[in-house]
Amino acid sequence: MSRRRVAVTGIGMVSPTGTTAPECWNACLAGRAAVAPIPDEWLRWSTYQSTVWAPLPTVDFAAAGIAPLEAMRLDGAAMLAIVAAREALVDAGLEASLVDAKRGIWQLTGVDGERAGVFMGTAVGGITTLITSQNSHLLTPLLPLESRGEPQAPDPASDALDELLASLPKRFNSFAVSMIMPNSASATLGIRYSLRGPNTTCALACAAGTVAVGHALRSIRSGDTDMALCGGAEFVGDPFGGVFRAFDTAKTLASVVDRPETANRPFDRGRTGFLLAEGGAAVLVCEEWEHARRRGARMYAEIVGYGESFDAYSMMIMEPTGRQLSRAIGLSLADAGITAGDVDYVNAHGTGTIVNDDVESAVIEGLFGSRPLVSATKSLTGHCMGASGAIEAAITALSLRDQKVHGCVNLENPVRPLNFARKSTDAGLAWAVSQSSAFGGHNAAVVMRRAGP
Amino acid sequence: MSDPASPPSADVAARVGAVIREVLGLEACPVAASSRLREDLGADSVDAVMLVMALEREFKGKISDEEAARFCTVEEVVDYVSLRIGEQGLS
Repeated sequence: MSRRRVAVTGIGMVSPTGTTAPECWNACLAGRAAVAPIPDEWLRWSTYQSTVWAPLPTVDFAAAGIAPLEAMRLDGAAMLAIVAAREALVDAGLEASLVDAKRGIWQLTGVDGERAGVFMGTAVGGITTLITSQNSHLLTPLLPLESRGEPQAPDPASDALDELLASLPKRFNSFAVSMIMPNSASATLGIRYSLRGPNTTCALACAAGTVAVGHALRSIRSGDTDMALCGGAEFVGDPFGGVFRAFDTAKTLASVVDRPETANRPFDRGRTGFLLAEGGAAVLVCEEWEHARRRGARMYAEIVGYGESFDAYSMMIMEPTGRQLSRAIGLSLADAGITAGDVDYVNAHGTGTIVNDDVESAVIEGLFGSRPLVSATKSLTGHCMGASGAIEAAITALSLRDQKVHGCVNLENPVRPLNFARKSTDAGLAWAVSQSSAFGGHNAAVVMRRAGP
Repeated sequence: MSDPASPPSADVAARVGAVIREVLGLEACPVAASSRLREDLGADSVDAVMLVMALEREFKGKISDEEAARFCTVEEVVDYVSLRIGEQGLS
Protein backbone atom coordinates (compact mmCIF):
# COMPACT_ATOMS: atom_id res chain seq x y z
CA MET A 1 0.00 0.00 0.00
CA SER A 2 1.38 3.39 -0.91
CA ARG A 3 2.20 5.81 1.88
CA ARG A 4 -0.16 8.66 2.70
CA ARG A 5 1.28 11.95 1.47
CA VAL A 6 1.18 15.30 3.29
CA ALA A 7 0.75 18.71 1.67
CA VAL A 8 1.30 22.17 3.15
CA THR A 9 -1.83 24.05 2.14
CA GLY A 10 -1.72 27.12 4.37
CA ILE A 11 0.89 29.27 6.09
CA GLY A 12 0.59 31.94 8.76
CA MET A 13 3.52 33.77 10.30
CA VAL A 14 4.47 36.54 12.69
CA SER A 15 8.10 37.41 13.28
CA PRO A 16 10.27 40.47 13.89
CA THR A 17 10.26 40.91 10.09
CA GLY A 18 6.47 41.08 9.67
CA THR A 19 2.98 40.29 10.94
CA THR A 20 1.88 38.06 8.05
CA ALA A 21 3.56 35.31 6.07
CA PRO A 22 3.87 37.42 2.90
CA GLU A 23 5.31 40.32 4.91
CA CYS A 24 7.89 38.07 6.57
CA TRP A 25 8.79 36.31 3.32
CA ASN A 26 9.11 39.53 1.35
CA ALA A 27 11.29 41.05 4.08
CA CYS A 28 13.53 37.97 3.92
CA LEU A 29 13.78 38.20 0.14
CA ALA A 30 14.55 41.92 0.38
CA GLY A 31 17.20 41.28 3.04
CA ARG A 32 15.42 43.50 5.57
CA ALA A 33 16.75 42.15 8.85
CA ALA A 34 15.20 42.97 12.21
CA VAL A 35 17.56 44.41 14.81
CA ALA A 36 17.19 47.14 17.43
CA PRO A 37 18.79 48.25 20.68
CA ILE A 38 17.38 46.58 23.79
CA PRO A 39 14.87 48.76 25.73
CA ASP A 40 16.49 51.39 27.97
CA GLU A 41 14.33 50.26 30.91
CA TRP A 42 16.18 46.94 31.05
CA LEU A 43 19.40 48.78 31.93
CA ARG A 44 17.93 49.62 35.33
CA TRP A 45 18.16 45.98 36.32
CA SER A 46 21.49 44.90 34.91
CA THR A 47 24.24 45.57 32.45
CA TYR A 48 24.42 43.20 29.50
CA GLN A 49 27.13 41.91 27.23
CA SER A 50 24.70 42.07 24.30
CA THR A 51 22.81 45.29 23.64
CA VAL A 52 20.64 44.32 20.66
CA TRP A 53 17.62 42.15 20.00
CA ALA A 54 14.92 41.68 17.36
CA PRO A 55 11.65 43.22 18.61
CA LEU A 56 8.29 42.29 17.12
CA PRO A 57 6.40 44.82 15.01
CA THR A 58 3.05 45.98 16.39
CA VAL A 59 0.59 43.13 15.97
CA ASP A 60 -3.13 43.93 15.55
CA PHE A 61 -4.58 41.19 17.74
CA ALA A 62 -8.13 42.56 17.46
CA ALA A 63 -7.94 42.29 13.67
CA ALA A 64 -7.01 38.65 14.14
CA GLY A 65 -10.28 38.12 15.99
CA ILE A 66 -8.90 38.15 19.54
CA ALA A 67 -11.50 39.98 21.64
CA PRO A 68 -10.25 42.32 24.39
CA LEU A 69 -11.61 39.98 27.08
CA GLU A 70 -9.87 37.03 25.50
CA ALA A 71 -6.58 38.92 25.45
CA MET A 72 -6.81 39.27 29.23
CA ARG A 73 -6.56 35.51 29.65
CA LEU A 74 -3.94 34.68 27.01
CA ASP A 75 -0.15 34.86 27.17
CA GLY A 76 1.60 36.60 24.28
CA ALA A 77 2.76 33.26 22.88
CA ALA A 78 -0.80 31.94 22.58
CA MET A 79 -1.95 35.24 21.03
CA LEU A 80 0.77 35.01 18.39
CA ALA A 81 -0.21 31.38 17.78
CA ILE A 82 -3.80 32.48 17.12
CA VAL A 83 -2.70 35.20 14.70
CA ALA A 84 -0.57 32.74 12.73
CA ALA A 85 -3.19 29.96 12.83
CA ARG A 86 -5.96 32.25 11.63
CA GLU A 87 -3.83 33.47 8.73
CA ALA A 88 -2.86 29.90 7.85
CA LEU A 89 -6.49 28.70 7.84
CA VAL A 90 -7.68 31.62 5.73
CA ASP A 91 -4.72 31.04 3.43
CA ALA A 92 -5.66 27.37 3.13
CA GLY A 93 -9.20 28.33 2.16
CA LEU A 94 -10.69 26.66 5.23
CA GLU A 95 -13.70 28.60 6.40
CA ALA A 96 -14.56 28.84 10.07
CA SER A 97 -17.99 29.45 11.57
CA LEU A 98 -18.60 30.57 15.15
CA VAL A 99 -20.33 27.86 17.20
CA ASP A 100 -19.84 29.18 20.77
CA ALA A 101 -19.50 32.93 21.17
CA LYS A 102 -18.81 32.79 24.92
CA ARG A 103 -15.87 30.44 24.55
CA GLY A 104 -14.73 31.76 21.18
CA ILE A 105 -15.06 28.34 19.52
CA TRP A 106 -15.15 27.99 15.75
CA GLN A 107 -15.82 25.02 13.50
CA LEU A 108 -13.89 24.46 10.29
CA THR A 109 -16.05 23.68 7.27
CA GLY A 110 -15.13 20.41 5.58
CA VAL A 111 -12.83 19.22 8.37
CA ASP A 112 -13.64 16.29 10.66
CA GLY A 113 -12.45 17.71 13.97
CA GLU A 114 -11.82 14.25 15.43
CA ARG A 115 -9.37 13.54 12.62
CA ALA A 116 -7.56 16.86 12.95
CA GLY A 117 -4.63 17.51 15.27
CA VAL A 118 -2.53 20.31 16.69
CA PHE A 119 1.24 20.09 17.10
CA MET A 120 2.89 23.22 18.50
CA GLY A 121 6.40 23.92 19.65
CA THR A 122 7.61 26.23 22.38
CA ALA A 123 10.82 26.74 24.31
CA VAL A 124 9.65 28.55 27.42
CA GLY A 125 5.81 28.53 27.32
CA GLY A 126 4.11 31.43 29.11
CA ILE A 127 7.26 32.76 30.74
CA THR A 128 6.20 36.40 30.43
CA THR A 129 3.01 35.70 32.36
CA LEU A 130 5.02 33.79 34.94
CA ILE A 131 7.33 36.78 35.46
CA THR A 132 4.44 39.27 35.68
CA SER A 133 2.45 37.08 38.05
CA GLN A 134 5.42 36.40 40.29
CA ASN A 135 6.21 40.12 40.48
CA SER A 136 2.62 40.81 41.45
CA HIS A 137 2.79 38.09 44.10
CA LEU A 138 6.10 39.17 45.63
CA LEU A 139 5.47 42.91 45.59
CA THR A 140 1.93 43.00 46.99
CA PRO A 141 3.14 43.58 50.59
CA LEU A 142 5.26 46.51 49.36
CA LEU A 143 2.38 48.40 47.73
CA PRO A 144 2.00 50.80 50.73
CA LEU A 145 5.49 52.11 49.95
CA GLU A 146 4.30 53.44 46.60
CA SER A 147 2.90 56.70 47.98
CA ARG A 148 5.67 57.65 50.39
CA GLY A 149 6.44 60.90 48.55
CA GLU A 150 9.53 62.38 46.94
CA PRO A 151 12.84 61.21 48.43
CA GLN A 152 15.18 63.87 49.82
CA ALA A 153 18.08 62.76 47.64
CA PRO A 154 18.35 60.76 44.39
CA ASP A 155 17.56 57.20 45.32
CA PRO A 156 17.95 54.55 42.59
CA ALA A 157 16.60 51.82 44.84
CA SER A 158 13.39 53.76 45.50
CA ASP A 159 13.07 54.58 41.81
CA ALA A 160 13.40 50.91 40.93
CA LEU A 161 10.78 49.99 43.52
CA ASP A 162 8.43 52.70 42.25
CA GLU A 163 8.81 51.44 38.72
CA LEU A 164 8.12 47.88 39.75
CA LEU A 165 5.09 48.81 41.83
CA ALA A 166 3.69 50.99 39.05
CA SER A 167 4.06 48.10 36.62
CA LEU A 168 2.01 45.72 38.72
CA PRO A 169 -1.27 44.62 37.22
CA LYS A 170 -4.29 45.62 39.33
CA ARG A 171 -5.03 42.00 40.06
CA PHE A 172 -3.09 38.75 40.11
CA ASN A 173 -4.40 37.21 36.89
CA SER A 174 -6.84 34.42 37.75
CA PHE A 175 -5.92 32.72 34.49
CA ALA A 176 -2.19 32.63 35.29
CA VAL A 177 -2.05 28.81 35.31
CA SER A 178 -3.59 28.37 31.89
CA MET A 179 -1.42 31.19 30.54
CA ILE A 180 1.88 29.87 31.92
CA MET A 181 1.53 26.20 31.04
CA PRO A 182 3.61 25.26 27.97
CA ASN A 183 0.64 23.52 26.30
CA SER A 184 -1.34 26.76 26.35
CA ALA A 185 -0.80 27.60 22.66
CA SER A 186 -1.66 24.13 21.35
CA ALA A 187 -4.68 23.88 23.64
CA THR A 188 -5.81 27.37 22.64
CA LEU A 189 -5.77 26.42 18.95
CA GLY A 190 -7.50 23.08 19.57
CA ILE A 191 -10.32 24.75 21.49
CA ARG A 192 -10.63 27.70 19.12
CA TYR A 193 -10.99 25.55 16.02
CA SER A 194 -12.71 22.43 17.47
CA LEU A 195 -9.77 20.17 16.62
CA ARG A 196 -10.22 17.05 18.73
CA GLY A 197 -7.53 14.69 17.50
CA PRO A 198 -4.02 14.54 19.01
CA ASN A 199 -3.08 17.83 20.62
CA THR A 200 0.61 17.91 21.41
CA THR A 201 3.09 20.45 22.68
CA CYS A 202 6.70 19.93 21.73
CA ALA A 203 8.68 21.67 24.46
CA LEU A 204 12.06 21.17 22.84
CA ALA A 205 13.70 24.60 23.01
CA CYS A 206 14.97 25.77 19.64
CA ALA A 207 14.14 22.54 17.81
CA ALA A 208 10.51 22.61 18.98
CA GLY A 209 8.94 23.99 15.80
CA THR A 210 10.74 21.52 13.56
CA VAL A 211 9.75 18.60 15.78
CA ALA A 212 6.13 19.79 15.76
CA VAL A 213 6.06 19.78 11.96
CA GLY A 214 7.70 16.35 11.89
CA HIS A 215 5.20 14.88 14.31
CA ALA A 216 2.31 16.32 12.32
CA LEU A 217 3.74 14.54 9.27
CA ARG A 218 3.90 11.27 11.18
CA SER A 219 0.36 11.68 12.52
CA ILE A 220 -1.17 12.28 9.10
CA ARG A 221 0.94 9.62 7.46
CA SER A 222 -0.02 7.03 10.09
CA GLY A 223 -3.70 7.61 9.42
CA ASP A 224 -4.45 9.08 12.85
CA THR A 225 -5.33 12.42 11.31
CA ASP A 226 -6.21 13.92 7.93
CA MET A 227 -5.27 17.46 8.79
CA ALA A 228 -3.12 19.23 11.36
CA LEU A 229 -2.17 22.70 12.45
CA CYS A 230 1.51 22.56 13.28
CA GLY A 231 4.21 25.04 14.08
CA GLY A 232 5.50 26.97 17.04
CA ALA A 233 4.94 30.11 19.08
CA GLU A 234 7.12 32.04 21.49
CA PHE A 235 6.97 35.34 23.35
CA VAL A 236 9.80 36.47 25.63
CA GLY A 237 9.20 40.23 25.71
CA ASP A 238 9.17 40.52 29.47
CA PRO A 239 9.17 44.15 30.62
CA PHE A 240 12.34 43.82 32.72
CA GLY A 241 14.63 41.91 30.35
CA GLY A 242 15.03 38.94 32.66
CA VAL A 243 14.73 36.39 29.87
CA PHE A 244 17.25 38.33 27.80
CA ARG A 245 19.57 38.37 30.80
CA ALA A 246 19.34 34.60 31.15
CA PHE A 247 20.65 34.12 27.62
CA ASP A 248 23.09 37.01 27.97
CA THR A 249 24.67 35.69 31.12
CA ALA A 250 25.12 32.31 29.42
CA LYS A 251 27.25 34.14 26.82
CA THR A 252 25.07 33.04 23.93
CA LEU A 253 23.97 36.41 22.49
CA ALA A 254 25.39 38.53 19.68
CA SER A 255 27.67 41.37 20.73
CA VAL A 256 27.84 44.64 18.86
CA VAL A 257 31.39 44.70 17.54
CA ASP A 258 30.96 47.25 14.79
CA ARG A 259 27.43 48.44 14.10
CA PRO A 260 24.19 47.00 15.57
CA GLU A 261 23.04 46.12 12.05
CA THR A 262 25.96 43.73 11.60
CA ALA A 263 25.89 42.04 15.01
CA ASN A 264 23.73 39.13 13.78
CA ARG A 265 25.91 37.23 11.30
CA PRO A 266 25.31 33.48 11.10
CA PHE A 267 28.08 31.42 9.49
CA ASP A 268 30.43 34.41 9.34
CA ARG A 269 33.87 34.13 10.91
CA GLY A 270 33.14 37.34 12.84
CA ARG A 271 29.98 35.98 14.51
CA THR A 272 29.63 36.38 18.27
CA GLY A 273 26.30 34.81 19.19
CA PHE A 274 22.61 34.83 18.30
CA LEU A 275 20.18 37.74 18.16
CA LEU A 276 17.30 37.08 20.54
CA ALA A 277 13.87 37.77 19.03
CA GLU A 278 11.04 39.13 21.16
CA GLY A 279 8.83 36.39 19.80
CA GLY A 280 7.15 34.95 16.79
CA ALA A 281 4.89 32.22 15.54
CA ALA A 282 4.36 30.17 12.45
CA VAL A 283 1.54 27.75 11.75
CA LEU A 284 1.35 25.44 8.77
CA VAL A 285 -1.87 23.77 7.67
CA CYS A 286 -0.83 20.25 6.78
CA GLU A 287 -3.26 17.96 4.99
CA GLU A 288 -3.33 14.45 3.72
CA TRP A 289 -2.76 14.76 -0.02
CA GLU A 290 -6.14 13.47 -1.20
CA HIS A 291 -7.94 15.47 1.50
CA ALA A 292 -6.31 18.60 0.10
CA ARG A 293 -6.76 17.59 -3.54
CA ARG A 294 -10.47 16.79 -3.16
CA ARG A 295 -11.25 20.28 -1.95
CA GLY A 296 -9.02 21.86 -4.58
CA ALA A 297 -6.55 23.28 -2.09
CA ARG A 298 -3.47 25.10 -3.34
CA MET A 299 -0.28 23.38 -2.23
CA TYR A 300 2.93 25.13 -1.19
CA ALA A 301 5.02 22.00 -0.88
CA GLU A 302 4.92 18.38 0.19
CA ILE A 303 6.45 17.29 3.49
CA VAL A 304 8.22 14.05 2.70
CA GLY A 305 10.64 13.21 5.47
CA TYR A 306 11.46 13.67 9.12
CA GLY A 307 14.27 12.59 11.41
CA GLU A 308 15.26 13.33 14.99
CA SER A 309 18.08 12.47 17.35
CA PHE A 310 19.54 13.47 20.69
CA ASP A 311 23.14 14.38 21.52
CA ALA A 312 23.23 12.98 25.08
CA TYR A 313 26.20 15.28 25.60
CA SER A 314 25.46 18.70 27.16
CA MET A 315 22.49 20.90 28.04
CA MET A 316 24.05 24.04 26.61
CA ILE A 317 26.51 23.11 23.90
CA MET A 318 26.35 21.03 20.74
CA GLU A 319 28.26 17.77 20.63
CA PRO A 320 31.42 18.86 18.76
CA THR A 321 31.46 16.14 16.09
CA GLY A 322 27.84 16.88 15.09
CA ARG A 323 27.31 13.15 14.69
CA GLN A 324 23.74 13.20 16.00
CA LEU A 325 22.71 16.27 13.99
CA SER A 326 24.10 14.52 10.94
CA ARG A 327 22.20 11.35 11.87
CA ALA A 328 18.91 13.28 12.28
CA ILE A 329 19.32 14.79 8.81
CA GLY A 330 20.28 11.39 7.40
CA LEU A 331 17.17 9.83 8.92
CA SER A 332 15.00 12.55 7.38
CA LEU A 333 16.52 11.93 3.94
CA ALA A 334 16.02 8.17 4.28
CA ASP A 335 12.44 8.78 5.37
CA ALA A 336 11.95 10.87 2.23
CA GLY A 337 13.55 8.16 0.11
CA ILE A 338 16.23 10.47 -1.28
CA THR A 339 19.97 10.89 -0.90
CA ALA A 340 21.92 13.96 0.15
CA GLY A 341 22.86 14.56 -3.49
CA ASP A 342 19.19 15.25 -4.32
CA VAL A 343 18.90 18.19 -1.93
CA ASP A 344 18.88 21.64 -3.56
CA TYR A 345 18.47 23.87 -0.52
CA VAL A 346 19.35 23.62 3.16
CA ASN A 347 17.58 26.08 5.45
CA ALA A 348 20.12 25.84 8.24
CA HIS A 349 19.61 26.29 11.97
CA GLY A 350 22.32 28.97 11.64
CA THR A 351 22.08 30.72 14.98
CA GLY A 352 25.30 32.71 14.77
CA THR A 353 26.86 31.16 17.88
CA ILE A 354 30.49 30.13 17.58
CA VAL A 355 29.88 26.44 18.20
CA ASN A 356 26.58 25.95 16.35
CA ASP A 357 27.79 27.42 13.10
CA ASP A 358 31.12 25.63 13.30
CA VAL A 359 29.55 22.21 13.94
CA GLU A 360 26.53 22.69 11.68
CA SER A 361 28.55 23.90 8.70
CA ALA A 362 30.84 20.88 9.08
CA VAL A 363 27.79 18.59 9.16
CA ILE A 364 26.36 20.25 6.03
CA GLU A 365 29.70 19.97 4.26
CA GLY A 366 30.09 16.34 5.30
CA LEU A 367 26.60 15.35 4.17
CA PHE A 368 25.92 17.56 1.18
CA GLY A 369 29.29 18.91 0.07
CA SER A 370 29.07 22.38 -1.41
CA ARG A 371 26.28 21.80 -3.93
CA PRO A 372 23.00 22.83 -2.26
CA LEU A 373 22.23 26.45 -1.53
CA VAL A 374 22.41 27.22 2.20
CA SER A 375 20.91 30.13 4.11
CA ALA A 376 19.96 30.99 7.68
CA THR A 377 16.57 32.63 8.27
CA LYS A 378 17.74 33.70 11.74
CA SER A 379 20.10 36.16 10.05
CA LEU A 380 16.90 38.11 9.23
CA THR A 381 14.37 37.30 11.95
CA GLY A 382 16.66 36.83 14.91
CA HIS A 383 16.18 33.72 16.99
CA CYS A 384 12.49 33.07 17.71
CA MET A 385 13.34 30.08 19.93
CA GLY A 386 10.51 27.51 19.92
CA ALA A 387 8.91 29.20 16.92
CA SER A 388 12.10 29.31 14.85
CA GLY A 389 11.89 25.79 13.43
CA ALA A 390 8.29 26.42 12.36
CA ILE A 391 9.17 29.79 10.81
CA GLU A 392 12.02 28.13 8.92
CA ALA A 393 9.82 25.23 7.76
CA ALA A 394 7.35 27.84 6.46
CA ILE A 395 10.16 29.76 4.74
CA THR A 396 11.37 26.49 3.19
CA ALA A 397 7.88 25.78 1.83
CA LEU A 398 7.70 29.32 0.43
CA SER A 399 11.15 28.84 -1.14
CA LEU A 400 9.91 25.70 -2.90
CA ARG A 401 6.75 27.44 -4.10
CA ASP A 402 8.50 30.55 -5.40
CA GLN A 403 11.73 28.81 -6.45
CA LYS A 404 13.67 31.47 -4.56
CA VAL A 405 16.11 31.35 -1.68
CA HIS A 406 16.63 34.27 0.68
CA GLY A 407 20.15 35.37 1.52
CA CYS A 408 22.25 35.01 4.64
CA VAL A 409 22.58 38.58 5.89
CA ASN A 410 25.98 39.88 7.05
CA LEU A 411 27.82 36.84 5.74
CA GLU A 412 31.16 38.22 4.57
CA ASN A 413 33.77 35.63 5.53
CA PRO A 414 32.08 32.22 5.59
CA VAL A 415 33.16 29.75 8.21
CA ARG A 416 33.31 27.06 5.49
CA PRO A 417 33.16 27.12 1.68
CA LEU A 418 29.51 26.05 1.42
CA ASN A 419 27.17 27.28 -1.32
CA PHE A 420 25.81 30.07 0.87
CA ALA A 421 23.16 32.35 -0.64
CA ARG A 422 24.48 35.81 0.23
CA LYS A 423 21.39 37.49 -1.20
CA SER A 424 18.05 36.41 -2.67
CA THR A 425 18.60 33.94 -5.44
CA ASP A 426 16.32 32.37 -8.04
CA ALA A 427 16.93 28.64 -8.09
CA GLY A 428 15.42 25.43 -9.38
CA LEU A 429 14.44 23.71 -6.15
CA ALA A 430 12.98 20.21 -6.05
CA TRP A 431 14.01 19.08 -2.55
CA ALA A 432 14.85 21.11 0.54
CA VAL A 433 15.82 20.40 4.14
CA SER A 434 15.09 22.51 7.22
CA GLN A 435 17.01 21.53 10.34
CA SER A 436 17.22 22.57 13.97
CA SER A 437 19.25 21.89 17.08
CA ALA A 438 18.35 22.83 20.61
CA PHE A 439 19.59 23.39 24.15
CA GLY A 440 19.25 20.03 25.82
CA GLY A 441 20.71 18.26 22.80
CA HIS A 442 17.70 17.76 20.49
CA ASN A 443 18.24 17.59 16.72
CA ALA A 444 15.51 17.45 14.08
CA ALA A 445 15.21 17.79 10.32
CA VAL A 446 12.28 18.04 7.93
CA VAL A 447 12.48 17.32 4.21
CA MET A 448 10.13 19.04 1.77
CA ARG A 449 9.55 18.62 -1.92
CA ARG A 450 8.21 21.02 -4.52
CA ALA A 451 4.47 20.43 -4.85
CA GLY A 452 3.73 18.29 -7.88
CA PRO A 453 1.75 15.29 -9.00
CA MET B 1 -20.93 57.50 25.67
CA SER B 2 -23.53 58.16 28.38
CA ASP B 3 -26.59 60.27 27.73
CA PRO B 4 -26.20 63.47 29.84
CA ALA B 5 -29.95 63.49 30.53
CA SER B 6 -29.89 59.99 32.08
CA PRO B 7 -29.22 59.50 35.77
CA PRO B 8 -25.77 57.96 36.49
CA SER B 9 -27.38 54.75 37.72
CA ALA B 10 -28.94 54.13 34.29
CA ASP B 11 -25.52 54.57 32.72
CA VAL B 12 -23.97 52.09 35.16
CA ALA B 13 -26.76 49.59 34.51
CA ALA B 14 -26.20 49.83 30.76
CA ARG B 15 -22.46 49.41 31.12
CA VAL B 16 -22.76 46.48 33.53
CA GLY B 17 -25.27 44.88 31.16
CA ALA B 18 -22.85 45.29 28.27
CA VAL B 19 -20.01 43.73 30.27
CA ILE B 20 -22.16 40.76 31.29
CA ARG B 21 -23.28 40.21 27.71
CA GLU B 22 -19.67 40.41 26.52
CA VAL B 23 -18.41 37.93 29.13
CA LEU B 24 -21.24 35.45 28.57
CA GLY B 25 -21.35 35.77 24.80
CA LEU B 26 -24.89 37.13 24.84
CA GLU B 27 -24.25 40.08 22.55
CA ALA B 28 -27.68 40.03 20.94
CA CYS B 29 -29.75 39.34 24.07
CA PRO B 30 -31.15 41.87 26.51
CA VAL B 31 -30.23 41.11 30.13
CA ALA B 32 -32.94 41.72 32.75
CA ALA B 33 -32.02 43.24 36.10
CA SER B 34 -33.53 40.31 37.93
CA SER B 35 -31.65 37.68 35.90
CA ARG B 36 -29.51 35.39 38.01
CA LEU B 37 -25.97 35.11 36.65
CA ARG B 38 -25.61 31.36 37.12
CA GLU B 39 -29.10 29.93 36.97
CA ASP B 40 -30.62 32.19 34.28
CA LEU B 41 -27.64 33.36 32.25
CA GLY B 42 -25.54 30.19 32.47
CA ALA B 43 -22.42 31.70 34.02
CA ASP B 44 -19.91 29.11 35.22
CA SER B 45 -17.01 29.57 37.64
CA VAL B 46 -14.63 30.68 34.88
CA ASP B 47 -17.19 33.26 33.70
CA ALA B 48 -17.46 34.56 37.26
CA VAL B 49 -13.71 35.19 37.35
CA MET B 50 -13.79 36.77 33.91
CA LEU B 51 -16.74 38.97 34.92
CA VAL B 52 -14.78 40.47 37.79
CA MET B 53 -11.76 41.14 35.57
CA ALA B 54 -14.01 42.69 32.92
CA LEU B 55 -15.81 44.90 35.48
CA GLU B 56 -12.48 46.07 36.86
CA ARG B 57 -11.38 46.97 33.35
CA GLU B 58 -14.64 48.77 32.52
CA PHE B 59 -14.91 50.74 35.77
CA LYS B 60 -11.20 51.08 36.54
CA GLY B 61 -10.78 49.72 40.02
CA LYS B 62 -10.43 46.68 42.17
CA ILE B 63 -13.19 44.32 43.24
CA SER B 64 -12.28 41.87 45.98
CA ASP B 65 -12.91 38.18 45.41
CA GLU B 66 -14.99 38.04 48.61
CA GLU B 67 -17.34 40.77 47.40
CA ALA B 68 -17.54 39.30 43.91
CA ALA B 69 -18.52 35.93 45.37
CA ARG B 70 -21.74 37.52 46.62
CA PHE B 71 -22.94 38.61 43.16
CA CYS B 72 -26.07 36.65 42.37
CA THR B 73 -28.20 38.79 40.06
CA VAL B 74 -27.47 41.45 37.47
CA GLU B 75 -29.11 44.00 39.76
CA GLU B 76 -26.69 43.16 42.59
CA VAL B 77 -23.74 43.83 40.32
CA VAL B 78 -25.27 47.16 39.23
CA ASP B 79 -25.91 48.14 42.84
CA TYR B 80 -22.38 47.22 43.88
CA VAL B 81 -20.80 49.28 41.11
CA SER B 82 -23.21 52.24 41.57
CA LEU B 83 -22.35 52.42 45.25
CA ARG B 84 -18.58 52.45 44.72
CA ILE B 85 -18.10 54.30 41.49
CA GLY B 86 -16.48 57.74 41.64
CA GLU B 87 -14.53 59.99 39.33
CA GLN B 88 -11.38 57.94 39.91
CA GLY B 89 -13.15 54.63 39.23
CA LEU B 90 -14.22 52.05 41.79
CA SER B 91 -13.26 52.68 45.39
